[in-house]
Amino acid sequence: MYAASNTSHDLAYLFTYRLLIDKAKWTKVLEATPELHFAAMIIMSSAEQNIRRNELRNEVLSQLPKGYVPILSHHFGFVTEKPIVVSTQNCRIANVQIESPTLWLLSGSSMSGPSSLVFAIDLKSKLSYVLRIANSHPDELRALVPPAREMPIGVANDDGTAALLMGGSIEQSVKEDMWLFTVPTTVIRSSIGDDASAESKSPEIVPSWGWTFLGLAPERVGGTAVDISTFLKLLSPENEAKQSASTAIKAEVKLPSALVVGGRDASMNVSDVMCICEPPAPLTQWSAAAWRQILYLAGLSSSDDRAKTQYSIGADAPRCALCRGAPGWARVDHPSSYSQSKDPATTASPPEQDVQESAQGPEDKPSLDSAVATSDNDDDDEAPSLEIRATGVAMSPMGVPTCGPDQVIRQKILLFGGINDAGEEQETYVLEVRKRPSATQSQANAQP
Amino acid sequence: MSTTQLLLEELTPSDCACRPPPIAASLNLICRANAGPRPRMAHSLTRVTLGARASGGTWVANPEDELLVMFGGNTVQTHKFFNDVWIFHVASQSWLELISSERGEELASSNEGPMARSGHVAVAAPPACTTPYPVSNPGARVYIHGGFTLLPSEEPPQTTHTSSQNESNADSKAASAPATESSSFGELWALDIHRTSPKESYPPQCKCYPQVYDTVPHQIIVYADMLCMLPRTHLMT
Repeated sequence: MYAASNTSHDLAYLFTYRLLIDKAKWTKVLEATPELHFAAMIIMSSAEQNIRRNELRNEVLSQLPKGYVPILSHHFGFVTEKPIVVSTQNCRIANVQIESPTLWLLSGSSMSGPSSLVFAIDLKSKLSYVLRIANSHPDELRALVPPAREMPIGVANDDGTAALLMGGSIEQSVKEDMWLFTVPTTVIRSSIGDDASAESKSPEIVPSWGWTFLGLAPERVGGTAVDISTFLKLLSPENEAKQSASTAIKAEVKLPSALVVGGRDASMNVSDVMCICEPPAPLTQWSAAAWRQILYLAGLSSSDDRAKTQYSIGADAPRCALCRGAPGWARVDHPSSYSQSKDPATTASPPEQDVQESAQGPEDKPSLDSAVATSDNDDDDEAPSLEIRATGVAMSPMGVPTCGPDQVIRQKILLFGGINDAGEEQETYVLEVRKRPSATQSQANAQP
Repeated sequence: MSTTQLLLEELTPSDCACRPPPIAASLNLICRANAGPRPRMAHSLTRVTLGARASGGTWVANPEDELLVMFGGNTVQTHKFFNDVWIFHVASQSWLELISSERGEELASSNEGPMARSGHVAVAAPPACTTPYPVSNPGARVYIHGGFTLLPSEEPPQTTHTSSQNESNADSKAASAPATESSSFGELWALDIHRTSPKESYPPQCKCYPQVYDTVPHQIIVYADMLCMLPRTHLMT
């Protein structure tokens, strides 16, 4: 076994730790149950309705037969920790009481094909629910929820109150839309220093729970997404306030910020790193044209009228060549730039060393750009492949404030596995994101 | 201004994505091939921190107990599906095998563990639904849901375990078998991991076989089998 910090002390510690955690036990919480036919559970009204979104949408959580667990694969799941949904009166939630924690399961492959459904499993009571969209015309209904898809990229915020769902595929078509799923959270109105009075007030349901279309995302299936919002807050505290002000979602719902690594677009494996630092504000003011546009962006345009809109958007809308027209997205970097040595003995550093370097300031740690410029490539310095279905997870943000405005704050993301053109990956990488040095900083570093 | 124009402005990012993002990325190789889990895809990595319920009901977690739990996955060419469990210890940046493939198959055959699968969902359970671990034995829970496997179309699923020596043979057998039947899963599993106290883990309970770690060339570190009686490491150069 190879340890990055390969000292005898570290390995001794590791071995001791191995003994300490040598206990793991599986428990079957819920048995699999036969598949239900959920198509009939989506209520559609036949009458023409006003297409204003907020009047149309009416999400309902319906309780499933006791012990029911959906059969899904290639889906996305996250856990809500906050207390959620306690209501029998609000019209948006009908006779359902769910307690935290709750496991949410979105999209994926079901027995009947790609799914667009949302399941909730109360991990305490073991009861499960399905999200229904009621009182909607079929056309509008399709635009109220993400189209069915397999292998979507999902990322939830740290407390599981909101999640981004993007990309994925259906019938060889790769999606490039992005949706926000907001968990129905009970919010107690309170102000700082007024906790006692807040207890007496009735809970308030976040009104915009359910799905909200956010716009375009990189055309991507597979890949890995992690939430870096905590890191970004450390990086730029004012960003949080800006984000809260720019969104129509209540401030209590923290939007995740996604960092997407790897995956595949419609034609090839993609190995770049994309991020969306500030999710775009949900579009809440809808008009007929807006509705058509949303249908187009969600890949649902079919009528002549919508085709015109499609043409108009396709011809006129400014699209970024780098991010393939995904608003708000930016390419952090491309692995072709990863020309640093692949030798762990020279690249990996123990945590203690990280802290030391951080304390010395950002100029002591070469930026990606400078690393690329100074790296002397040899045969072993091939760019690592993260091309498809790489699986990673975010580690704790590591931040060491230093004097002055600059802080060396890093977010480390472990990447293991996935496949590329050559087969499955077996090497383990840590992707580290940190504040990009300013232009003046880079110039200062370049000077001897 | 037409409605469409208005919409285009709404949908256009305020800050163009062409502008460099405020963050940069770098990639470091920290573990070579053959030094961690076997190559795979569609597995899960879940971040957990072992914690305990302290007095007053507060949840206490030790940063040194931050782990990434890896489960499942499959290979494309050989259709080998996994149900082993590995943990990545963040503090030491090292992989540790928690449940081997052989043990995983044993558990699955006795319905005491999940069958090998990929494309599943794994989430870390929040403290509210984990066992109230005592402070001396912090723990964590990971939920596994769904996923699928490929089964030979005419043969029942192989649930017998294979030894590590003939894993490659098993792979080649799986590759030659007509694995065309997809079987999806729907059950919900929970994996509980918790630390034993040092008193429990040391002799006589400790596993008494030496482990050899291949680290850097010309250097082999052999761990003694009796940590309490011998020096913890012998460094041979």
